Amino acid sequence: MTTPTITTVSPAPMLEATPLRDANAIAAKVNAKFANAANVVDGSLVVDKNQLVEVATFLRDEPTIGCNFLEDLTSVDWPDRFEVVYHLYNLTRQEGPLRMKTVDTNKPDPRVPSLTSVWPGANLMEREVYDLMGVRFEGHPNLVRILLWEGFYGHPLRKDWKEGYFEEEKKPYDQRWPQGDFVRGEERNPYKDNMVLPKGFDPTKYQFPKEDNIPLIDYNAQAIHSGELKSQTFVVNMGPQHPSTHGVFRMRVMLDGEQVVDLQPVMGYLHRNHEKIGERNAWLMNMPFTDRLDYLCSMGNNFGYALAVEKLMPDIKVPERAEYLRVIMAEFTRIVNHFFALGQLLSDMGAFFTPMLYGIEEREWVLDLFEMSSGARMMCNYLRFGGVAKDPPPEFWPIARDLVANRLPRAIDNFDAYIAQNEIVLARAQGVGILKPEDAIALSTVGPVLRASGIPYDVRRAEPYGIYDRFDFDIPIGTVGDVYDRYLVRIAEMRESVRILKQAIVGIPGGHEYQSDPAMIFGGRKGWQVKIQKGEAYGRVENPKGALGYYVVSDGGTNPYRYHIHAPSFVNIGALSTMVRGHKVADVVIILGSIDIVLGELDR
Amino acid sequence: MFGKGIITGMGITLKHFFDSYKADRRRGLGTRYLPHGEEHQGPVKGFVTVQYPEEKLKVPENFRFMPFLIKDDVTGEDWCTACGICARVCPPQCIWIVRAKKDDGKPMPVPEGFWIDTSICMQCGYCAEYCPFDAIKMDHIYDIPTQERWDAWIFDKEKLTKPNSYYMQTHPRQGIAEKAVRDEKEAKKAKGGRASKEAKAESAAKTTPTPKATPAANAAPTAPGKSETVKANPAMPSTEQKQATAESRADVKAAQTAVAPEAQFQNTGPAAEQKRPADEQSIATATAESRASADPNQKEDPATKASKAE
Repeated sequence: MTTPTITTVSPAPMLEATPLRDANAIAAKVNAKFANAANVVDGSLVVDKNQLVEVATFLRDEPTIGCNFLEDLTSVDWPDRFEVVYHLYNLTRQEGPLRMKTVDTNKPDPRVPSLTSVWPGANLMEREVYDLMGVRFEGHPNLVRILLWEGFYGHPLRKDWKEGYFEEEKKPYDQRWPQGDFVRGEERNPYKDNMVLPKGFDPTKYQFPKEDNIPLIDYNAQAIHSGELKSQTFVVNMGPQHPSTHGVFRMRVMLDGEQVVDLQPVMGYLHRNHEKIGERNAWLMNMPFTDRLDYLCSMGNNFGYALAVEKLMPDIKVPERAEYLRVIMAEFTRIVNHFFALGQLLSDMGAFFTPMLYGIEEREWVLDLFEMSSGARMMCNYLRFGGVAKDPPPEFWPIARDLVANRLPRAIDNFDAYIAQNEIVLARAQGVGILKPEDAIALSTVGPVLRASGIPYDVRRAEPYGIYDRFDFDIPIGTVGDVYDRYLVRIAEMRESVRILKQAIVGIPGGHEYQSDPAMIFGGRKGWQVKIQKGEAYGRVENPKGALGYYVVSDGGTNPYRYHIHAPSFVNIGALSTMVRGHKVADVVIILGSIDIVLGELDR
Repeated sequence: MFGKGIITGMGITLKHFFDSYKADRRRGLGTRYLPHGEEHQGPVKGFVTVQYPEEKLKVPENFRFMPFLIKDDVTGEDWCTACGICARVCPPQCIWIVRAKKDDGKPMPVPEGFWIDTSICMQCGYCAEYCPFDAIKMDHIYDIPTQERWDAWIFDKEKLTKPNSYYMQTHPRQGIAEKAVRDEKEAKKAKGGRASKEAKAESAAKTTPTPKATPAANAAPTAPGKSETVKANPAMPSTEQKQATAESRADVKAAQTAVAPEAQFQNTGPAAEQKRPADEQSIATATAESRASADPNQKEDPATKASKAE
């Protein structure tokens, strides 16, 4: 039996090609082929929507451009138009992004051609945009609501849509101060007055539609054939209440016997319209809300949001020590998340909770560090624009050094030792859920799922943020792309994180002798009113689960005009049906476990 | 192969199993349920669970849960000036403030009413972080369940207010650093307003440490049990305190069942005020005890000293 080996590589050197960030050069190339198809507005390529599919195919296939990866797809509701925004990358040359836009001015019923034929990964993202923004994608194979239910009225991310307990357009709300008359939203606006239903819609008589691109079994038609056994496909709902789904997540699995023929993810049970809340919030208020996205890695979530907004604050300078602290916290987060993910994966394989608890045991010490520096174990809310909230106390450093030098490497080795060569794990994980590299790119997967398929793409290396360009680390990749490779990649990533942590803890200015000043807040007390310039920015970090991106649009006001999250769990789940086809039901569970989803982020 | 991996895995599990008794072996038999939560903090090997309601981990100083307002120890006045920054920076918008008005309708820098709907508070700590007057801070209390869903979670000013000495007790380092910043500002400024009052208060606290009821002592019968969470001076826990708590554990349990859950938050409320005279005796003894046990801490900042003496 051969076990796949993990090789580590550095990125390939840049080839002679048009840099994707140079939108003008790309527009010139596009216009040479398609007359007047593209022009450049504020650094982004605006494509005529009638030629969108052709231009997108050209951008993907032209070797000197080669946008083979659609990272993010979203839309913005401007007063006079709908804009659909695409962020394109090239994974081979490791560059990007090219921000492509297309515009439709028909406000009541905007329509844009679907790009699922060019980048299959657009499937779920286009459904999300249709659901929340109401942009119809013509040519999409299955354009139905994804996060909300079918009886939902309207499209909530449109600016004219108001939620049930609507109070005011923007926070802070006026009635809190100085005449704070204490009234709950529910009292001011009683139940049932807050609901708007579509015309002629009666919830009591509502029949759930048959969500049928997967046909349900028709028991009446089933005939018993004598002589030979005839099988028939049927649909099983796994979830939403199922221990293997790691939360409230449903998979409609079409089975032939025990073999999976097709799978359809059904999500939205935890949906709370984070993006609408974010657009009501002032800029700073979103920071604690990002904690609640991927609640296992709140520090990483904070980091991404801080990066995105800091791009719109050109005069801000993050102190050196704060940069180091951000990296330390982000890497600790990666280690605890991978411990958790691997424990869950083994739990799914049947090693019920013992390995999980070994992972949690290590996680506790790291959470202690988070608690003593930020004040909370999970909802850390630690980063601020231009720094971090507090300096860690002096007792942080001995524990952190001990963890990094002794305890965590030992725990990772242990985790590796009792699992990596375990016969049951090998039998269950090897060759299961293979995702080919070309599929991984086409389906827009990110993070360990992408790297396990052999694509050496890591945001920390491809587009270094913070001070990641100063550290020496490798990017582990897999060779086969199965569940076992994803497991090995995560183990290897933890080792790399320990390597980064060792360098960061030594290199941090002030060092361990630094006398911390508890009243010191890097953001400063004036930091609650931030000035954000007009513009748009896409900031992303390599979160443990993959590239987490924040697309923020500012109109110069106190609140974000548009606040969009590219969630790694959400895009990775799009590759699930490709991975599970042909496997058994029991394998569906571990393949889902190997993707490592968190529902707080998936449903948003 | 041939089961080698499985045997390795079982071996590690067995090692974990024996490791989980390491701390017990070191301490001796029959000590598992004694309060030794502090032992489990920091990367130790072995036993890592605590028997939660009986023993509690001490929380770090930065720990944040539940905002509270600070009132001056001596003058009893709120430090809050009703500037409204906390209400405006609050992400879930759960703070309501009414600013007091003079007779002629001009606003005064005093809060007439202050409510926090703690059922929607997300414990982000922004109010404490951005308050320019150190008037609102995050507490260390985390076990506050009630059975009532609505009104128990709306904290009014009385429920929210706690004396500064309590804050100095729970956040010694931060409190001292913030006090230094305030003193510096005061030195720069001309005398007047709240600053001078504060200075007076400090001097009063230095000379005559008035025995005033601490929040712990206020919650009459639960005094020892409450002090377990409140007292915890994270800098240096003293063994005497710990033993005392352990001895009175049985009484505490009995008493806690008798006390209604709301009483836990009426530290400075009117009910507690009424209890004060009756409990003077117990407060006095508690004070003496805490003085005796807090001896090594006496050289600290006068403010901490004052709080200890109470």
